[in-house]
Amino acid sequence: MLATTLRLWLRRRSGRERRVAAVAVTVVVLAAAALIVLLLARHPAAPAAAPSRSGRAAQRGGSPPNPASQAALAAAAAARRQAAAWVASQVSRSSITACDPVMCSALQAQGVPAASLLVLGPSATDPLGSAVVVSTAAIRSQFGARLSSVYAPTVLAAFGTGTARVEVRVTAPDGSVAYLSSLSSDLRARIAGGTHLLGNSNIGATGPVRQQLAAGQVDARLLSNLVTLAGLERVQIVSFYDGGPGSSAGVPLRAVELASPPLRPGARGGQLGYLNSVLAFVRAQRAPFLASSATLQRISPRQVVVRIEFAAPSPLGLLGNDGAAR
Amino acid sequence: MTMRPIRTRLIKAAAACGIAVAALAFAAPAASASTGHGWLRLAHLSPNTPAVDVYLYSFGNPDARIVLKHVAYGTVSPYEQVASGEYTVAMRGAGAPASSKPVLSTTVDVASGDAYTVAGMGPESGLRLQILRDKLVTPPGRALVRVIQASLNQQQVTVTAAGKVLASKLAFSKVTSYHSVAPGAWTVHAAGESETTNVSVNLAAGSIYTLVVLDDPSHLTIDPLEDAAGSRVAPSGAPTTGFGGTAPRPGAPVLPWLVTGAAGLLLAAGGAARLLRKPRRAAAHAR
Repeated sequence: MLATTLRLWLRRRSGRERRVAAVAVTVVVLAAAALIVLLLARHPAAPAAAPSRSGRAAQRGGSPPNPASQAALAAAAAARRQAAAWVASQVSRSSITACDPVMCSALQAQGVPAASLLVLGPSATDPLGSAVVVSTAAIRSQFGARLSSVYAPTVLAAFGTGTARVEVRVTAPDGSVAYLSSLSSDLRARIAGGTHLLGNSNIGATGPVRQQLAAGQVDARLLSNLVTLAGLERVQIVSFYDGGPGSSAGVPLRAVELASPPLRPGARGGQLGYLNSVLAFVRAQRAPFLASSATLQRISPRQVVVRIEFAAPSPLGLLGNDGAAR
Repeated sequence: MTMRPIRTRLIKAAAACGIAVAALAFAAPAASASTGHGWLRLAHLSPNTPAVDVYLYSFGNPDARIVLKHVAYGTVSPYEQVASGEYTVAMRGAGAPASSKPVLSTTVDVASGDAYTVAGMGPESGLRLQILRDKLVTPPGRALVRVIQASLNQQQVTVTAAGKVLASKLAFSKVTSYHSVAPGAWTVHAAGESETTNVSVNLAAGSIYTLVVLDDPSHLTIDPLEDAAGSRVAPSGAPTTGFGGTAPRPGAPVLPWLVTGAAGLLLAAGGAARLLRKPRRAAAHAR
């Protein structure tokens, strides 16, 4: 169409005008061609598919690596490793963990059995069927805002920042509204239980521990074990811990350190005998009140404590009568 | 000192005593409500689980421990009045050595004025203690009935009475909610996969019953438990052996006892005054 227009325009011009116009068109075409060649030489063609921001950076064939991209990749890998190590040590092996293929590989490398993993491929529409979901950039881009608003509203632990951030979230099988309501009820029951426990004359606790009990920050399984222990003998609480880095409000502390209280002179077995008795009690329990770990630890040259840890995620509704049949 | 002032003092003392007792009588319900008590009983409904000792530990008071010894299958303890609050419930095998540790099973939050059954349910391998909230009040002129299916031999049981289905194919270890029924003499029929049984129950208006379907060693059986008779009265009863129906009567009014006590004190004071007056009269006659 452009050629036809040009031909008609030239027919209407004189012979000299035609020659000038032909020269001008040739010059313009040559200049445009030179510009295109120059641009192509400076910018090689982009890859046909660019799966991710980090992938694109990696595929700049031949060009020297961008230090910023390398740092981002390293940060993502570090956060992934930290999250995998945390899940391997803190999440119950009987719980199913949902993850993207890369994260699932990292979890397996940390010793999480494949049977405990739910691999979320690109076609997965939700993480339901799992107890926790590991939220990476890939998972966030797959599920969008629905991940936190519908499927998994609370964070157990978080590692890294920005796009490298990896969060371990509790899956809400009945949706976030129902889960948050149960978490809120559970918190109220933990506040009531912790407050009652503070009035128990067989419980010894320092200031921070008392505050954590009164604020309902202590896991219901821990509270139940402490109450029953206090029904048998005096209990000295040193500290509560293991809330998970970056956890959401209301997520309970799942571990405790207990020391031997002052014993009567000549008490059988001494302090070690007392601590072993506590260990025997904790190890005799059954699920859901069975701790994932209970060990003796020397925390100073003169002090040995019992460390009791429960697996994540904390079950809700163990206190109060939420599950009572009417 | 003359006799008149003594008599006057006695009458005043008796009056003060009566006023104090009356004040106590009126104050008692309020005091009771403020301290807060509920009622708990235990039911062992796991057929293949040996007898157990059950312990309840209060969150707030280590001295408020409740121990129920040697609770065997089919046993339902009488209600125990307990201070309201949260308890853990733990078990040990009956007669286990003192060194063995109680195993935590559940927790129960006893609300003031409410009654609960802590029921050991399921097979031994999966034994769990379930908290059943017991009703104490019925709709006017009605009775309430619920069914607990504790037969392991019959996995599903249907329970009917006077054409009304109280439980349809109720699975082992499950509990129905309460049904409001007309009072009267009922023949309750339970049918499992291979066994059936009947029991006659007289359902009184305002009373609440739990029908427990059990495995007798040789056949299916129903044990009707009267949870409460009349409004807020006596949860009691044991289906077979064990603690028997010696339950205290929750919510039984204290006022009649206090009034009776006050009347007794007044009578005693009056009698004493009369005895003191007699010697004065005798002295007057002598003069």
